[in-house]
Formats: sequence, C-alpha cells, structure tokens
Amino acid sequence: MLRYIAMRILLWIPSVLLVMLGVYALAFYGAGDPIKLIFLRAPGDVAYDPVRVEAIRESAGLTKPFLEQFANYLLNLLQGNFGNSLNSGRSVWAMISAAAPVSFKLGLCAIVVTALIAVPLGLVAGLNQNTKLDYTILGSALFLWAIPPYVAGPLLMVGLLLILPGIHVPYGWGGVFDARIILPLVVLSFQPIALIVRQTRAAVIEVLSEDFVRTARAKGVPELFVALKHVLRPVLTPVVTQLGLIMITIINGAIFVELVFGLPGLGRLTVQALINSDYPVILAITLIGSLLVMLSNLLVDVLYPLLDPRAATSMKGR
Amino acid sequence: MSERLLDVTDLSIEIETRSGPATIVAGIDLHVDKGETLGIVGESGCGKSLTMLSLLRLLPNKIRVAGGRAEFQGRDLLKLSRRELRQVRGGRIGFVFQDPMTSLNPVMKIGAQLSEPLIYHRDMSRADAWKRSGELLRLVGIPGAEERLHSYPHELSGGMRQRVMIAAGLACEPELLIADEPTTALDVTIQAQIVDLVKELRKRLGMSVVWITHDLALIAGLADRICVLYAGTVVEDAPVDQLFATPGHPYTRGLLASIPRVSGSTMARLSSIGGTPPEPGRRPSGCAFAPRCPLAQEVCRQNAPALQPMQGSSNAHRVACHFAGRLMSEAA
Repeated sequence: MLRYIAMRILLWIPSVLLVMLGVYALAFYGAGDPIKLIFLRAPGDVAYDPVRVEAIRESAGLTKPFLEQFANYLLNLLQGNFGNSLNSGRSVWAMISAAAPVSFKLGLCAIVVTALIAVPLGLVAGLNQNTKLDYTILGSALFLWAIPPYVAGPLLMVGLLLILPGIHVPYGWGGVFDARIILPLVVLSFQPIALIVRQTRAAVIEVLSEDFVRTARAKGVPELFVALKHVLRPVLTPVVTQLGLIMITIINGAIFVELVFGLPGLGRLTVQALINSDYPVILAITLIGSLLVMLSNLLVDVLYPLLDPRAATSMKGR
Repeated sequence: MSERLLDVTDLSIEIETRSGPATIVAGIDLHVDKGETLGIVGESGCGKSLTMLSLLRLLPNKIRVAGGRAEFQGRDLLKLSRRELRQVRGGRIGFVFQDPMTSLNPVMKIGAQLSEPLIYHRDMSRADAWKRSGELLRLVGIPGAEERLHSYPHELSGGMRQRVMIAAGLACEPELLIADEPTTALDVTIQAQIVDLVKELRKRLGMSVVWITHDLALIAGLADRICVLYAGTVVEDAPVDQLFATPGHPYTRGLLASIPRVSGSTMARLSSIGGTPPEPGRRPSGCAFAPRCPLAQEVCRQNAPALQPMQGSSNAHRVACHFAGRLMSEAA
C-alpha cells in the first residue's frame, strides 16, 4: 500500500511539470502584459512611461528567454520559493496559503452535505424504482441539475434578503461554523446533489438485480438490512469516486460562488491572477490545484479497499 | 402414504412482455414428502428455477405468479404476509443458488454472510452466530473453518463457495432445502463432492431436498423421485427407478437417450431431440411437446394431456401423454 502511494506521487511529478510548462507558455506568449497592466490599474493619473516599464520588466527578469525563465522558476520552487506577485509584490506563498484553506474547507463541507443528502435520496429512489416517490426525487434532482450556480447564487441571496428582513448580507468568509457559509454551500451542492442522486439510484437498481441480493432475501434478511448491508456498500464505490471528482472541481475554484459570496478562496485568486497576467500566481495555483487533484485521487484510492476488499488484493499486487 | 411437506397445485407464472403477459409456467403440480429428495429435470427455460423461486417470492422483475397454490406445512406460501414470508425464507426453506461466483456478496466476509440467517431467525448474538457459522463451515467440509470465516468470497474457489452457499442454506436447519442447479458452475470432480455432501447432510439432518438440474445422470444417484418439466408443465413424475426403467413420456425417453454412454471401446453417437422448446407466449394449443414428438397424432395437437397414472405401472408414476408408455411402433 505504501509502495503504491509512493509510486503515485512519483508519477505525479512529471505530469505536473508538463502542465506547468504549458501554463507558463500560455501566460508568456498569450495576450496581456503584466507590467503594463500595473500602470493601467494604478490609482491616480500615473503617466505611462515606456522607459520605466522596460526597467521594471528587466528587474523582474521578464526579458530573459522563455526556457531560462521557466528553469529559474523551477529552481526557486525547489528551494520553496514561490516568488512574488508581479501585480502586488506580495509573496505568492502567502496568497495561496490564505486562499487554499478556504477553498478546501468549502469543498469538504460541500461534499459532506452532498453525500448526506444525495446518497440516501438516491438509495430510496432506486429501491422504489418507477414509483411516484422515485419520480419525485429524480424530478427534483433534474430540476437542481438545470440551475447553474451563477443563477442560483444571486437569486437565493436576493430572495433571502427580501424574505427575511433581519438577515445580514451573507457576504464574506467566517470559517466553517459561520452562518455565512450556508448559502454558498447550498448553491455549491445543487449540481453535485443532482449528479449523486442519479448515480446512486442507477447503481442501486443495478445492484438490486445481482444474485447476492436474491441470496440475502432467500436467507430471510429483512428488506431494510438488505438495502443497508447488501445494496448500499457496493453502490458506494462508484459514488465515492464521483464525490472525489466533484470535490476537486470545487476546491480548484468555485469561481462564481466565491465571487458572488465574497469568499477569499482559490477561485477568486485565479480570476484575479488571470486578469492581471500574474504568472507566478497562475503557476502556483496550477501547482497547488494539481497537487490537490492528485491527493484527492489518492484519498479515493485509499478508501477503495475499505469499500471493496477485492481492491485490496489487487493493490497488494502492484 | 408419507407426510406431505410441500404441495404445489396448478401453479402458473407469467412474464410481462410488450404484447401483454406470456405464460412461462402453465399449471404445475408437484409435491415433496417429508424426508424425500425430489429431482426436477428439464431443459433451460422450462420454468424449473422460476417455479422454485416463486415459492419464496424471489422472482425477478416483470415475472409474477398468475395463479395456483403452494402449501408448505399446511400454509399457502403464496399468501403469506411479508413477515411470515421472511420467517420461511432461510428459516423453514433453505435455498442454494446456481452460481456460487455471483450469489455471495463480494464485499462481506463469509462469516458475516453465514451469520445472517442465524441472527434474523434464531435471534443469536453476533458472536454466537459467528461461532455457529464456524461449525457450519466444518459441517460442509471446509478445512480451516474458523479462519475461512474471515475470508471474502473472492478468496475461495468455486467449490468452496458452493459449500458456503449450502452452509448458509442449512444454517437454520430448514425442513426443505431447494438447490437450484448447485453444481452446474462447477467442474465434474467438485460436482461429485457436492452431491455426496448433500446426500450425507440430508441423512444427518432428516430434511427434504428439491434438486433442480438438467443433468439426469447426476440426479439418478441422488433423488427418490423425479419430476420432468417441459415448457412449464410437468410431463412425467415418477420414482427414480421407475422413470429410468419404464419412461412414459416421449420427452423423458428423449432425455434418457441423450445421456452419453460408453460401451466397450466404441462410443455411440449421442442422440438428441430435434427442434426447440416453444417460446413463452407461443405455446401450441394441445400438448406443448407435440411439434417435436415422434409419436404426435391429431389428438395431441388438439388437447393437452393431463397428468395421469400410467397404465401398467404404479400409482406413483404419472405421465402427461395421450400415448404414455407406448412404443413408437404401437403408436404408429
């Protein structure tokens, strides 16, 4: 198992290097000049001075050839130096380490909410296939699925403010146990819930036709325990995989939700960095994002043997 | 006459199709006495498994019982409440399924799966049930039984898994064990072991057994009585020696003739029955076997024959054929 984890991390390194090279190239050769943008956005009426611009460009090391810049960046990275933001001059590490926990906590909470709501609903729908209950659950899931976060977010926010007069504007971040997290969580969970309900339902229907479910019934196991012990566990394997994927997308930037609800997470940071062509920040986000993806995949892989003992046997072989 | 344990009368089963319900099992009559082993024989799709599954209401979706009775210990199984049904399942009637590869839950330990009937029927604690499960595994001849309780099904061979299935079926010492082609998925030497195991357990526990198979040779050494099914009806029901000595139905004769035999050094070409069984919903109006029968006359295509005692044989030997027991030359 440990060998397996080590292998996964080793294999991750070349792939993340390739991705970073691609991102660096896109930022380098693509549109947008970070230094000019500093001047454009500067407060007051700062005159655009080509000489000064080139001087700053020189001092930031941006005039060197592309590959040399990339190599320098990697060398710094190996020493734990993420560099400074071209735009604000702040340490990139400080920016990331402030934003990442927000996104991570948000993603984790959204996944917990999704799992707690969607898995039982999907189970109930699947067990009552083609009944009114099933259609109601499936219909609601499809409805949620059809609402994009950038519609749900503002609508819910405005709606709540109008209905509940005493409420504070749910804007900003106060941690996991702050009431302001509720609305973003609801919005973030809409589509994952829809997805997981449908996936759980489909998996339940498939497992119900398995021979071992018939065996359980033939042994006289009550229906409730047939559902919980024999049906639910095999269903969880694909569902956990899907939850892992959803978590990655949320952590890597729930861009709309973070912007609408003023959450200082990676999504917001990404948007700002992209607008400002802030290479060091973009690269650091790419690195962290890739790391998180790899870790979530690893987490799912580590969970597999707990859900399906056959996976444990196959992993020993690797 | 010995005591009846199970008495199925006029049981019919339908499948829902796009063009309405189609009959798969058309009025089956069969019975099992206490301590008796009944072999149910027939081709794939003749309804032998469905008949037995329907008794415990384990039929797949879209297939349902359309009529009939199935009295077990004086109560109609088809009319039991959910609660009563649950007590019969695994408690009074044990079931062993065809494919041990898929019939055990892949993510549960053997011990947990064996414990289930004990926990739900005998109100045993988890620890007691686990201990008893170990004894059951020893009963069905699994070496290192206590360690095996901690194994998962994929860590066991097919023969071992089928032994586990049998142990689960026997856990609550049921009056009746229904074994649905329990050896079909196993290789020949393991088949023999499983047959011997069931024989021995039957003697030790004094239970009745219904053994579903398509293998007449296998059932010959195991059953007291054999029911031959064709296209969802019983065509012949006879004590095993009478069935082999004087088969009454042309279909039974065809089956017997298709058992491979090696005489001396030469092996005769296998005989087979021409044609295929009718599809559900397309049953001929008279005798279902008539289109494939070498003896078929006009009367066979008009009227379906009833299951009646065969002339010149004991009352226990019943055949559903207008020309029961007659040879081909006599009929023609």
